[in-house]
Amino acid sequence: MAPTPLTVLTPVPLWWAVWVRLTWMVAAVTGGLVQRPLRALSFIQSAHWSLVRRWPRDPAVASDRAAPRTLVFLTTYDGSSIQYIDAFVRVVPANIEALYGGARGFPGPFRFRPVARYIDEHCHPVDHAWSAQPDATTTTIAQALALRDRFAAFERRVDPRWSDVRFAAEWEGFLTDVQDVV
Amino acid sequence: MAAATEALVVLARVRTGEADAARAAIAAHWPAAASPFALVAGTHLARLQVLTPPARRLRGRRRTPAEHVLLAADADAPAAAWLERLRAAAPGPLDAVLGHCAFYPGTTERAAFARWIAANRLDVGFSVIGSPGATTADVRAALGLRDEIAAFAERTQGLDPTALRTAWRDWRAA
Amino acid sequence: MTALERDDIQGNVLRGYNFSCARYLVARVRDDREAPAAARSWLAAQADPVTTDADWTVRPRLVGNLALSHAGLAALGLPRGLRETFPRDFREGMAARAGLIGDVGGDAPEHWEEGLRPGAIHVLVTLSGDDPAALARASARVRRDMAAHGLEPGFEQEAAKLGGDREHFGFTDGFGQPSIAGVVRHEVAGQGVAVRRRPWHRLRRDLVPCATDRRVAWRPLRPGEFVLGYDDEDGGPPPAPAPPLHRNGTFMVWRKLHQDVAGFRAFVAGAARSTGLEAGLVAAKVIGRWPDGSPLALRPHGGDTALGEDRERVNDFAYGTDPSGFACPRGAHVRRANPRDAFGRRGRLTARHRILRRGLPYGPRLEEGADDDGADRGLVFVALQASIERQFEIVQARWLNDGNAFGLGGTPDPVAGTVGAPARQAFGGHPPRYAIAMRGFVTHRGGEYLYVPGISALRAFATL
Repeated sequence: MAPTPLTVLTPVPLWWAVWVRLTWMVAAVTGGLVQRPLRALSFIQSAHWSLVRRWPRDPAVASDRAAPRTLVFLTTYDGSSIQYIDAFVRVVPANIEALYGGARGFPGPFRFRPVARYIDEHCHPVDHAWSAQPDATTTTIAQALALRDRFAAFERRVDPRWSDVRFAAEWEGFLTDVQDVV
Repeated sequence: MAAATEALVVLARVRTGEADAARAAIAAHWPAAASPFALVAGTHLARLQVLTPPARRLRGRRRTPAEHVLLAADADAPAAAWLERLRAAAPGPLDAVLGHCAFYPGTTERAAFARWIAANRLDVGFSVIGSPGATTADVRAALGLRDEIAAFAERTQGLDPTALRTAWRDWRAA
Repeated sequence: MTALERDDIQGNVLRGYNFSCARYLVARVRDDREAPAAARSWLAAQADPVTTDADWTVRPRLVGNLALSHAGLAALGLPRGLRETFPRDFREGMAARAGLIGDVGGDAPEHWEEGLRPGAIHVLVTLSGDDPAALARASARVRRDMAAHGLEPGFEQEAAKLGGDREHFGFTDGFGQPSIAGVVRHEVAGQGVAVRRRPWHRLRRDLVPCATDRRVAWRPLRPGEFVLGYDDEDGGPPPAPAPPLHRNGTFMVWRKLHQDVAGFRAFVAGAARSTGLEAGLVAAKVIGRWPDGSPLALRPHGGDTALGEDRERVNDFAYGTDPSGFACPRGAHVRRANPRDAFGRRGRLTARHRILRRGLPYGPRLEEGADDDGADRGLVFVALQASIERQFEIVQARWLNDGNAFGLGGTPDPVAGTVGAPARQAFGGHPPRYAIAMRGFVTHRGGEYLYVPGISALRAFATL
């Protein structure tokens, strides 16, 4: 099942934009600590947040006063939107509050239906999306990369002088250790 | 772990009245079954769309902001190299869509294209990436290896040690 | 918590009847000018005979319930504005959403049985009892009654327990159901949502400690997960149609599932040879329980009939202590259908995807060791939930048809999922074992998404 792209634009007041930038600075220096609970959800292929202070960004083009300061959210995820939103609401509401708490009209991160409605009202259909591995999920890719490293380590350990019995035992042990990622 | 991927987000204003043409160009030149992104090595994920920013209330009225084209990708770092590969691989499809954007110079001149992209590029403030340390080649190779290991594990279960060792040697020598 | 209006909720929703037989009668609204009004008044008149969830003083010999499809509501002449207040999944119907739930290839709507093709079901009447002959007589009466009131009776399906609550693959089924707050027996351990056990939980009467995992307690699910008009796990009533149809109803998923029993047995035998495991253990690992109902999570090495028959203990288990699936494989059917705390974070990621199951087997049993006789046998699958998309479709599409949530990539469940390519079954252990299911063993023969109205709603059909 191909991953799903989602683009969400939400207007934010200046004070919230300042707060969001501060949290991003903290995230940048804490070595992935802030991202960890979101990555642990295991279905986010990618998620990026940007702030647009001026529409458009190109200084050669006149500023569009009709477009406010905006938080741009681009994500690609596995599974259904129901599960995606449900996981944010039920597992990492604090992270969502830190990003959207002051966004205009944000209903709070603790209930699925208001958040789903908010996303629905602020999302923009993606005209074209592409994935290098449409049949591979975040979990599958992470498993494959982990297995690659552990298999390489096993292969380095394999000694041609081992007896067949010893090799069979070692192979069995390896398979037992990596069965969660095979 | 050093990041092997980099995000690129470009938001460029569409010239007045050309949003529908830009969308039509995406439909015509960026078909789902034959995406030009597939021609660009190092592309993990990419998207292209026409969107309208949210509207600000001005003196009680809500004016509709101008449409923009969004081009975004998660690519093997550095993004500048990926952009250059994109320009070289898909000039026609790029021009067909971005040609509706303000001050777009076209793909013919590398430096002009790069300058225009830089002028319209958004900084990414916060990211969560599933496997940030892996290039597209890493991912492809790892997935292939995983399939091989799974198949080997399944077909050799229950073999006696000698047969297993022989199968292992045959597999690793192939 | 709002008290459940039990006498306004149709029976077999909150509590299963546990009758041994059923007959499912399908009908369409006739295509003539008088039919819709006649059918609506017939429906309204069923508000009295339809069985509710009210307690029985004497167990009836026969009970009846009914449900309606969106196509049926349209054919009945329900105002468009009212029909459009129903959720989109119900309005679109099962056939239109076939791609979403994996009804492709041999399961696709174009291959459904004649009487169950898309649009065939406007009204579904379910008759339940213990006497097949009485059901047959009742069915004939209902058919005549419907025919006299603008309805054209069509397909009919009998179903009956095989003995010992077994289904055709030989496994005890139907006893693992969500526990619902406010319903009798909500205290049955293992049927609710897994929560982290805290010392003060001893003071809470609604929580039941898990006897097999000291970190877990069980909390009943909010009734709004299954009945419209009550708070659900999101803290408010689920989306429902507009009044007067908004309360005490639910949504039904009805599917006739053919089971390839000989094929399943052959797969098990082949998997036993390739894995070196005993065939009974292979079958149990595919299902997640032993035939007697005892769960692999509690009995990884052999069945336990006493446990299987003990409804207070048989479901009191969690998967948190078995993340790699050594006892119960990660891809086992029961683990996929109800992952409990398998995703970590206790039951937070599974609580909103539970379904009530009320189906029965159909068709003759295939004796052990017998060749495939080509008989039509399987399961009439009936699921009840407040949201088809959030509950049934997530379970079917994301957990049974796909293994990613369990770390198994796209591998489906061969006994209930769509198997489009060889599906590798992983049995965790020291070392792990693998079996390849070349195809699935269940074929979808037809069904529909249906609305089960409350009694007041049913009565309101006379004036809608």
